[in-house]
Amino acid sequence: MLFHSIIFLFGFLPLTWGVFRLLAAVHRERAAMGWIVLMSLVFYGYWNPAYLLLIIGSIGVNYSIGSRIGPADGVGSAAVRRWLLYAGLAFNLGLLGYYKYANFFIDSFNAVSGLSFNFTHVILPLGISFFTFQKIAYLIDAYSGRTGRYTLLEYAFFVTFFPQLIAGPIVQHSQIIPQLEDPKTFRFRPIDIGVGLTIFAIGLFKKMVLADGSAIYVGPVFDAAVQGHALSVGAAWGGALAYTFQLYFDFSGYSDMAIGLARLFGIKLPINFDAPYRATSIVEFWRRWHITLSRFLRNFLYIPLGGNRHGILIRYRNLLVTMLLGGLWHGAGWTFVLWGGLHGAYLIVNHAFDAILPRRLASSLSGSSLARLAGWALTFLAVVVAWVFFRARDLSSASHLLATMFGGSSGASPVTLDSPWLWLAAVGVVAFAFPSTHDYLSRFTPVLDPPPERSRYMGIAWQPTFFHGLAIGLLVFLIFRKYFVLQPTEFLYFNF
Amino acid sequence: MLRYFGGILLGFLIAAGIWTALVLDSLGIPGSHGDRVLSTWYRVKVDAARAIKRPKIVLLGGSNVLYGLRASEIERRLGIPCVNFGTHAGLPCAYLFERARMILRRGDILVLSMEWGYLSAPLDMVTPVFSGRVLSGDAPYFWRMNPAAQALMVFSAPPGRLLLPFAVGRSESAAIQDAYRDALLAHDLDAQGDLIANRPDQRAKPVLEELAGGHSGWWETRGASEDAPYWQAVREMVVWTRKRGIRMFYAAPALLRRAAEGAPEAQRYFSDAERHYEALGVDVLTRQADNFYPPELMFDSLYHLNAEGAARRTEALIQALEPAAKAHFLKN
Repeated sequence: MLFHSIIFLFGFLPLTWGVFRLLAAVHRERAAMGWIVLMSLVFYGYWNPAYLLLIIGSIGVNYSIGSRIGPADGVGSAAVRRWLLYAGLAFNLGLLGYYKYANFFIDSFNAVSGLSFNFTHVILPLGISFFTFQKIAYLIDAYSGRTGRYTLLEYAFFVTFFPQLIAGPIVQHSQIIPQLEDPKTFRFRPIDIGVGLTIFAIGLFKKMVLADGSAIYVGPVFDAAVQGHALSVGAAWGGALAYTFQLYFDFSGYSDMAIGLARLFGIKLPINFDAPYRATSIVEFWRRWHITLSRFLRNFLYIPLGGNRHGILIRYRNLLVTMLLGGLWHGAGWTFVLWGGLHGAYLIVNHAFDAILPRRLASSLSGSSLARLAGWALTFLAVVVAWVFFRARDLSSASHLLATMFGGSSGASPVTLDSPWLWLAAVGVVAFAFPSTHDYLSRFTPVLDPPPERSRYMGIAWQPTFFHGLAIGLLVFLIFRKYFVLQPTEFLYFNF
Repeated sequence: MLRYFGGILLGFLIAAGIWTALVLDSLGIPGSHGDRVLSTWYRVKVDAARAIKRPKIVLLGGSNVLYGLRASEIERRLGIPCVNFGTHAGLPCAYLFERARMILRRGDILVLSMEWGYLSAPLDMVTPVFSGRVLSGDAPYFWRMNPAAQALMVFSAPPGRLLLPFAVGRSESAAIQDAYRDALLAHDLDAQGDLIANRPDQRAKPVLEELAGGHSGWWETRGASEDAPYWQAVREMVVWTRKRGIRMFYAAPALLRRAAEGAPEAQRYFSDAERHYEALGVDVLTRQADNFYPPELMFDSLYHLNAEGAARRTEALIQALEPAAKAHFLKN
């Protein structure tokens, strides 16, 4: 079920919210949580009921292991607990490996060896990459004694809560379950409705108007690259930039919708995007883009690998490995691995540059507008180049597109393409200059762990007033209009 | 909070009102190149049909007729005036039929050659082509549509349409339309509405090669069943034409020859449909089984013949039509 489908907006959501509020109003908090878990499973099973068994079984196994491996659980020696942890990790990674990577590894092996092993084509269960990470984080925290004594219901709520189930934000148990233990969460507050619906509307607008509007300039260019057609330099750049904005508005729109929906139920989710295309370095970009994934990779991969504790070379190796695996997490394909590797290399260059730059020069550069502009331009360019690999169907079409972008056109294009420049200018203004969703809602702390308030946006920050209502009403109309024009499309991040 | 939600409602209504007013203000002004071409096709074809003062033959369908039949050749060979009223299969069946009713006169012959997709499509499906056509060049039709279809057309209009009255203006738009007509008549269309720009040397070979492995799957729909809306529309057209002494025929569209449409289930679907036409009293002049063409005779799509293919298809139609047409016109 898609968040922007009619059945979700006018069937599933009102029913789920209404019954939840009714149960919460009569102080049946556990029943309200149970209702959300049930409806989240309906939400998940609507796509493919067969995979309900997978998610329910996986919840059972992880909860059962997680509640036995804590230092205070006393179910066995440290070695037994450690082996139980390994078994849990192997179970989760095994499921992910089977469903997401089996075909990729067998195809790659066949390509390298010249053999032809056959393997049944497996359909990727929705959201498996996201909820697998949440369960792994839970197991590791349980083993380290960083979890409380959660009930199965609380744990199931944490994993299945439908706003974040399919495409994140990747939440941690410590972010969600304590909210469930707070009675205020279940109290009806009109401001939650105002804030939640506003964030949801902004997310829907980003997805349906900005991302889908950008998409029409993306497909023809990347398809032409697959066909090997010649493209003009402008067309190649237009396609790459359009995808840069499409992906951002698609995924940040989805995150906004998830955050807004959760807020309708009194739950706050962590921030996932913080105007990433305004970053002035790659390091800053990764603090702003898919923040919950970056945090997971840092805490559960980069730091366990040694982080920056064993010298520069080991640090760079760790960065590269983390980003390569981060790339592979996004998709079982060499283009994703290359995208991750490219970002790993960017990060290494960024850290090396910071390391060799004299401190005094660095501090004077950080205060210089020109240096910040140059840093922003270089960062944005690097990100756009990497997105070409991310979107391309294969390495040869990515190379073809990049060669055109930087080497010039290879001839007259047989494909007629619409000019994207006016559209790109419009979405560029939104991405670069408009307040981000949480900047706009900053007076009402829309997310967990919000970044510091940006004073330049405080003058226009959202308040539940008539005039802000008029502005959101305009967005709602533009969304409404899109239902007449296009069939809803899936979110890009459902594929990951 | 109530004020906030009141603001949302009012903001929505104001935006919807402004949008609607601007789209309605742009009625009759073609927005895109495609809208202008389609408007010009209709203008040329309607002018050609209305200029004929005696019984005539009207060839009706989507672009398979436009590209694949030569009204001028039929007229020359049979000595009966003929108009190519084929336009675009993105226009719904109800619209094509209504426009045809406006030019058909007592004693005419109507040769129907509808694309197969029509059999399973809603009669009044709002497509971008249809919306562009109606908003650009058929305001009276817009006002006759039901409110739901009107709303669909208004809200699906591209944002650029809102600026048309300011950017182009009506008088300037009329001058542009005249220039389009002159240009199309000089290069693309003949006076009977036949497309003459589909030269064999300009056929889109890569597109045709890509199409060769495709699969239309029409036979997987319920289009051939008698209760499909399409057949209801044909039935009504038969009644309407009979009342006016107009003879109605069916000619199968030209199709690119490929494995998918040659399969037994596809053949069964085509012959079932042809039987439906006959059951409704519409004589079948040419059958689908005889209307598959090799890629060399196609132009740029599954349905579009090039000039050489069009000549061949027209010849087959003339052979089939001649006796019936002569008998009909003798009687009338």
